[in-house]
Amino acid sequence: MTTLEIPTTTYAARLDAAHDSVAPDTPGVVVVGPGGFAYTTPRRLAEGPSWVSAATGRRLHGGDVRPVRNRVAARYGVACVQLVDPTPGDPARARHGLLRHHLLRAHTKVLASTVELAVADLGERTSAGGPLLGRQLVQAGLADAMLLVEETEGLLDGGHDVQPAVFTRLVRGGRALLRLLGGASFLIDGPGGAVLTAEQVGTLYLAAHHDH
Amino acid sequence: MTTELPDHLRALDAHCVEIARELREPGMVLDEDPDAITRYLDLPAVRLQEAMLIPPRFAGETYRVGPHAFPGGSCLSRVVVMDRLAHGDPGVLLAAPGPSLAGAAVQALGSERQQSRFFERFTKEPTWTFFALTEHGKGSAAAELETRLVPAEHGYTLHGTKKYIGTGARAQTGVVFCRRAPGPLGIEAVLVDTPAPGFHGELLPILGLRGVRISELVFDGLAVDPDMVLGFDRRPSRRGFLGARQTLATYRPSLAAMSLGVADAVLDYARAARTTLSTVDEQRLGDLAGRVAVARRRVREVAVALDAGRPDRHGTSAVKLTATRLAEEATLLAVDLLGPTALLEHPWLNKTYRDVRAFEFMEGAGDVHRLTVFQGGLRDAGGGT
Ligand SMILES: Cc1cc2nc3c(=O)[nH]c(=O)nc-3n(C[C@H](O)[C@H](O)[C@H](O)COP(=O)(O)OP(=O)(O)OC[C@H]3O[C@@H](n4cnc5c(N)ncnc54)[C@H](O)[C@@H]3O)c2cc1C
Repeated sequence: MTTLEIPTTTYAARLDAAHDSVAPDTPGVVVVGPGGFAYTTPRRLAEGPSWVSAATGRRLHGGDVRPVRNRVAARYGVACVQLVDPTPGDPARARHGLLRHHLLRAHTKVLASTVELAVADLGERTSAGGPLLGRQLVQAGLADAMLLVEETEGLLDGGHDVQPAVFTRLVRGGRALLRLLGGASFLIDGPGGAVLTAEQVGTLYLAAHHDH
Repeated sequence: MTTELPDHLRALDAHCVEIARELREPGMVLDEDPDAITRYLDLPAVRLQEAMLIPPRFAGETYRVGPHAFPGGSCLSRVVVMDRLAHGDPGVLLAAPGPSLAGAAVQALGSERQQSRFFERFTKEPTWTFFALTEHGKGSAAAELETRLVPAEHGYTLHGTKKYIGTGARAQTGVVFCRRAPGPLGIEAVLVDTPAPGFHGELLPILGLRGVRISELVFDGLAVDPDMVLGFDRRPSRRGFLGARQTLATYRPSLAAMSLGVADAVLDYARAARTTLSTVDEQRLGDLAGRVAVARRRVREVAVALDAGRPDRHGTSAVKLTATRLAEEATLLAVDLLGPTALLEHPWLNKTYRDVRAFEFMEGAGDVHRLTVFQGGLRDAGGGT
């Protein structure tokens, strides 16, 4: 049977690369999202990050860095913190659109890896003498996931303006894909954990703001 | 037909709304440490959910609400209870001691002696149980399970691995479905006590609903006494896999009800946390609340049919699928309404956002229920069997 595991460090590395893309001249950037929350790697936190506000584009100094416990993200090498009462500094000349772009790319890659795993695993799971992969319902589900990955990559490669709706589609499409893996998708170690990590990070940095 | 509950169930419903409130905090504690359930065994909700699953003749005392007595066994009562208590927290209910699905299997198949041996434990001490059917890759195709029951000098031994088994690693007793011979009629259900030599259980790390404590169970020569084979004096077609089917059919309405209770809880939470809503958002909440209400009516209808001995297989699949998806929709909507920090500033919502995804797989994968719904529709249209 296929080992239903996704490499645990890949998404985390892409997350930090997404932060870096925002201000390539500044080492160890971490973009601080709404509420002062940020997701990054424990390593970057240990090295002392350069905080940049997503809202104002300014550097942030000082402030209390409070860890926010997240068992699932931690399994994927991702830490969550809240930066409390930082002092705003000079503008970082940050390009925030790139953060969105890179995070959506990282999320899409998680789904692409999950599709690969699902094809391998469902090819081995059998029911009524044939592989589950032979079931049209399963094939249609996988086809939907493949189309989603392809379309999102097309949007990202084509330099289109990526809207929050892209993230919403990845969330819903990712969940539909995971259902094909049955109970295994509810394990932290499996693709379900990686997809949930991407969902949580995306909710902070990519979700739509409603006017309250 | 059952939109209006009879008086005694209305009293039960209102009582459950009250006692469900006490489950919120334990629910958060169990999300960190599911074994902490032992601290909450005196909660009325924990006792009530157990009482609902014990046949009246084995119950120590009957759960009462005012003048009304609620003996276990009625699917409609159970549905009312699980719906309202899940509004408090579903994980506490699943972590709590009690007969669980194993009890239904013992009731469906067990001899009188097997039933008293199983159910009498609950009056003596808190007892956790498991129902072990699924194996990795053999969940929906459970009739093809591979765990073997092998004849031995003084009975049988059990060999194989079960996966995703609720409470498996923490229970004192449970029902294991296993194969004595090829084919669906070669399946047996055996009652086992754990821990015991030849049994190893380990908790699996899961995304949410941690109270359910799903486990991997390895049977490596666990001894099984011949009189622990449930319904050993019945014909093969009247035991074994039939018990699995009947058990799941009995429990699906309860799982659907739990999903609806959680969906309601999420919608209530979102309304309380977002005091001002645009008209569109108000409509989105209203639409979902309406769908939950319709599903609740259907759950009660299938429960009434089950109690009347007319189980509605297609209707039950439909409502299980609908209810679980509504719970997931509710969490997605709440996160959308509460914005980018929803999962960080609202720990209960974060937990529930993870919890509800378990319902999809419990008691049958959603897609398999979709296929059952189709078969029902086809039959009603006169086009199928
Ligand atoms: C929180 C939780 C608690 C659980 N508790 C228990 C428990 O206490 N006891 C127990 O025995 N099990 C338990 N389970 C296991 C659960 O019953 C199974 O996960 C479920 O039946 C699905 O089986 P599977 O995981 O093997 O997925 P599979 O059966 O492999 O299905 C995977 C996917 O394949 C597709 N598929 C499968 N069959 C078909 C088909 N015939 N036609 C078309 N498509 C198909 C569907 O899309 C499905 O989602 C639990 C699971 C969870 C997540």
